[in-house]
Amino acid sequence: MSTNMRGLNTFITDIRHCSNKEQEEKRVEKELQKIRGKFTSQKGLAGYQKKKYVWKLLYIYILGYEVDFGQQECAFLINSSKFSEKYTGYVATSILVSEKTHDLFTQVASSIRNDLQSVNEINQSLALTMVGTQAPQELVNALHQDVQKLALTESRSTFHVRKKACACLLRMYRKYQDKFQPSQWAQGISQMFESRHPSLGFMTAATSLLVGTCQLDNPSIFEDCTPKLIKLLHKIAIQKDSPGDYNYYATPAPWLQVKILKALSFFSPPPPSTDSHRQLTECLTKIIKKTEVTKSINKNNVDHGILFEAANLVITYNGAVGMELKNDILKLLGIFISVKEPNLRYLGLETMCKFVKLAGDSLEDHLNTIFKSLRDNDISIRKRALDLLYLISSPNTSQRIVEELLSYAENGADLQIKDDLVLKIAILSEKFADNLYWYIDVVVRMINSSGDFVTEDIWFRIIQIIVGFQKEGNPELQKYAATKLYSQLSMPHVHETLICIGAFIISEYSQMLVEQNKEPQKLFDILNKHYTFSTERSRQMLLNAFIKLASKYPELKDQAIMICQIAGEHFDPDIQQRGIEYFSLLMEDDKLLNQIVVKMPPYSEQVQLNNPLTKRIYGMVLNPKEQKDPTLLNQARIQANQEIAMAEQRLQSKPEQLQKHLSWLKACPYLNQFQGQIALEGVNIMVPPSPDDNNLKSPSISNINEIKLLLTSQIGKIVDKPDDLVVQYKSEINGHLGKISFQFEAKSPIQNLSILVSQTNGMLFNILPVKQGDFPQVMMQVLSYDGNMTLPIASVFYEENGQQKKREFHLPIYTNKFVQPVDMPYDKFTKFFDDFTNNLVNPNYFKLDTFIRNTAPSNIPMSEVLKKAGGLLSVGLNLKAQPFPSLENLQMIWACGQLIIKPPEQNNILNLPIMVVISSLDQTTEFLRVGIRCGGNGEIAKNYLKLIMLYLG
Amino acid sequence: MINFILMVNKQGQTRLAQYFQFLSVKERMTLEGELIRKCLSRSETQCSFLEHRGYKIIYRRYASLYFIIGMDLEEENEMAYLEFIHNLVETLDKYFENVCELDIMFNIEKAHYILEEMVMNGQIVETNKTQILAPIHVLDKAKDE
Repeated sequence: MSTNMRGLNTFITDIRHCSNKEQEEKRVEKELQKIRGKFTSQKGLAGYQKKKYVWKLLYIYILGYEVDFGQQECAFLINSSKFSEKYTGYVATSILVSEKTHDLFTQVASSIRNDLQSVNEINQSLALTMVGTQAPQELVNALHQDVQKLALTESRSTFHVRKKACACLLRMYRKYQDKFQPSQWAQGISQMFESRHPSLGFMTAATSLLVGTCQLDNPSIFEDCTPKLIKLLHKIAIQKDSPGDYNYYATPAPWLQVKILKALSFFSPPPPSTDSHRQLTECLTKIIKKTEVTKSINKNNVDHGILFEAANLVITYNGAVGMELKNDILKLLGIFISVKEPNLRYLGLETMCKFVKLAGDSLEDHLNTIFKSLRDNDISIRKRALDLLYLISSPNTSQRIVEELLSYAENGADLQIKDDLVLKIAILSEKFADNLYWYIDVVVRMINSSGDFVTEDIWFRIIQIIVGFQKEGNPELQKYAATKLYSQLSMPHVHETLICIGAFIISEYSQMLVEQNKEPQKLFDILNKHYTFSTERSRQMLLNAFIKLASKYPELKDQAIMICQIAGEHFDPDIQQRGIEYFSLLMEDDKLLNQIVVKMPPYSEQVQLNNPLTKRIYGMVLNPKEQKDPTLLNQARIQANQEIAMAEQRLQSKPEQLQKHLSWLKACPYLNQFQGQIALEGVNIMVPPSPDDNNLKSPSISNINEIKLLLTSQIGKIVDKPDDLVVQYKSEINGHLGKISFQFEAKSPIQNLSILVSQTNGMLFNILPVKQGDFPQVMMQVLSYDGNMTLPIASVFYEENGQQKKREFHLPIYTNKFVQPVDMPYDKFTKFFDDFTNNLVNPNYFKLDTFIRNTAPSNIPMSEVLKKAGGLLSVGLNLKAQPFPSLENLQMIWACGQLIIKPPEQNNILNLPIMVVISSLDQTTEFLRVGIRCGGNGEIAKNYLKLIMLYLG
Repeated sequence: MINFILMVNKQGQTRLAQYFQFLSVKERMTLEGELIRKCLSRSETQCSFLEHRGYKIIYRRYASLYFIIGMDLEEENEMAYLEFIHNLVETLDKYFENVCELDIMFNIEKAHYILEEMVMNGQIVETNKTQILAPIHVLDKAKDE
């Protein structure tokens, strides 16, 4: 290969001699400048020069510097007829040119095709390698058929080219699955394994293609490869009939053996008493029973690689082949996890995780060894040991395992593993708590040793379990928990999380402690002792505890009042609000207090089943490219998929309603006009709210008329009863944030006004202190975090003429207030709209289609009705609404916008699309068609339909 | 599949990098820096496998040079890939006769070519040293003539 480039060598030597990063940067900068000059100068560069500079750029890029020019020079080198230049072009393009540089790829596509179709196998290989490295869309579009042909059909191309074509094809398929139909490959792939004198390199690539395709598509279409794969494996592993130069330290073609075993795991086991069954049993037996440890570490490594893969296959087949090898595998794994060689220890533990289901209790013999691995000096091994302990926990072993995990958490566990450790202790202790006292002891110890890692979901769950699900909780447990926490909190320094739980439990079950001769005052003191030194979070919980205690024991009232009064001036808005509200509650007569501070009801069964902790374990596994947990992967994925499917079913809770809606739609005589534009199949089809479900029209809203006006504007009166109370209202909403202010006016001066907001689904309200006066004023901040919004209710308490009064009214804050119009050309809009309609699986696409009654009097022409709808959508509902095909000949209004929300615990703001069409029908003026598409949450579509019905219905 | 193969020296200088997905320069530098620090912090008595940023990392050290492979987590058989690194080193050795870091630095285009013969698009395509080196020998000869 002609590569002797003096300039390049000099440059590399220079870089090597740089003694520090600054010098290196300077040298690189200088070189980049020089190359840029050469590339931009008018003088043409010789191919050799270009090649040299491109290699320099590559070198600079690998060193970690941005290279933002020269991409064109790289790509055009592909056209060169000299091999070394062509090679440089291909390598550089695959590395330096981002797949987003669309034009460039379009420009070189035809010379790449020439190379693919040439008879020069080296050029063919170069082209295949480059195309497959990034698989840019332009090249996949242009070349996928050529590649497919090279890989699958036995033409004149060599095995050398075909193996590369296989790798390239798999890469393309992984990236653009919808472009390919693997079912058409079945025959071609199957034939690959038939050739009599195969190149084992080609077999490796072909098996990789098979494995890769099975991972993404239904493996059963390739089922007839099984006997051929087994025959090939038998030939290599048993008959040793393979070319000697594929031996690696005397093991024949180890990587191919591993791949074949892997591929077999996708298919059903060969039926008993067939040749294949016999051959495979022979292979597996030999691999598992006859693998010997030799002096060569390299041979041992590949042999063990094959051995682990064989063990995996036996596990996957669930014993259908080689069941008698189960004990041998178990014995081997037992040896592996106790040897000195760390790699074997690691893999032994990892494989045991997979083996749990098949092995049953027999793994328990190894508990002590696994406990030892939990304290290995290698974090990789510790993690595997923790996974394994979690998986093998059973009613028999759980107490021992949890005890070991706890003592590890108390003593030795490091930060890298504690998160996971705490989560697993929490799940196991709940799952295997046949003795609930034990559960309490475990969680208290867990918080004491690793409180900083006990996240909210974990301690919420602990409280839920103590309170109980569905029916009244277990009083013995509650008593035990209260006593235990009482004694824990008596200590001077306690972890914050324990204070939170303690505050809740001690105040909730104070009665049980008092029955044990504990003075209420003592309970109060024990909690109060921690108040000064606590964080905001635990102070909030403590304030709750104080008001609960004060409502039960009047003698504590004065002290609680004092604390709340001080808290009312706290800088933290949550504590301040609690302080002010609890203060006023405590000042009320006891009747009201006792009505509000009531015993916590048990949680619903739903809460019990939806354990967020187990979800988190699965979540960890499912989130791509985040912390994933490979050994749990397959099991967890199956379970999680089942749970998700169940949850989805629950979400779409009323399948019969959906069915009813769909059959109604399908029966509509107007459907023909909208063929393909109405979603009738797939997930996330929403059912329009029934008239009694439409709470926007409900007569129970006293200020419905005002609301109707205000939902489309920003200023006005929400309640307008001149004899009673007038509420002036002004709002300013921008993006996901808003400010609302009120002024109250009654016939006589108003005193001591306070306001509460409830039914605030999807929104967060922060109420600032009331500005009292003859006309009190209140300011609120509001934030949207979810599309599932309801119309909030404000309750106002005030005194007029010395009389206590309460008024309730709805606030005109709804989904549309957080929507902004989006400008979009019509063709783009229809494309998106249709994508949503026709996508059957995307869980983020929500669709709602219906026909609504046109309530306008019959003498009003349809175009006027649509104009009104357009006005509503654009002025009132904050979408960008436009006529179709034109304003003169109006048939449809289409509108587009985005809902802006900021989900809690996320830093980014989400813009969820929302698209609405309202169109007239050809056959009748009695109905209008409404179609809504939205992202994020189906409630958005429902809410919009409610709004449309409110104004047009 | 294999997501990347790196050769990085103890000082954290990357000598050869092949990614099978596009990462920006910044992402690459961060990843490579983190990986080499993690590898350096591990001792001989610890295993050759790590999890990092959602990759399964398999590494092996030869003198001052670390060979690092990043795989999908779902991909199994760490042992086979661990030994594949050795096969790669032996192949480079066979071509360069006692390969060292400098050989790779100054012959980056050849090292690259050899790697591409063995791994393509994240898949192992060839493990037979004679087969791997055949094309590059042909090309070398063509130049001599």
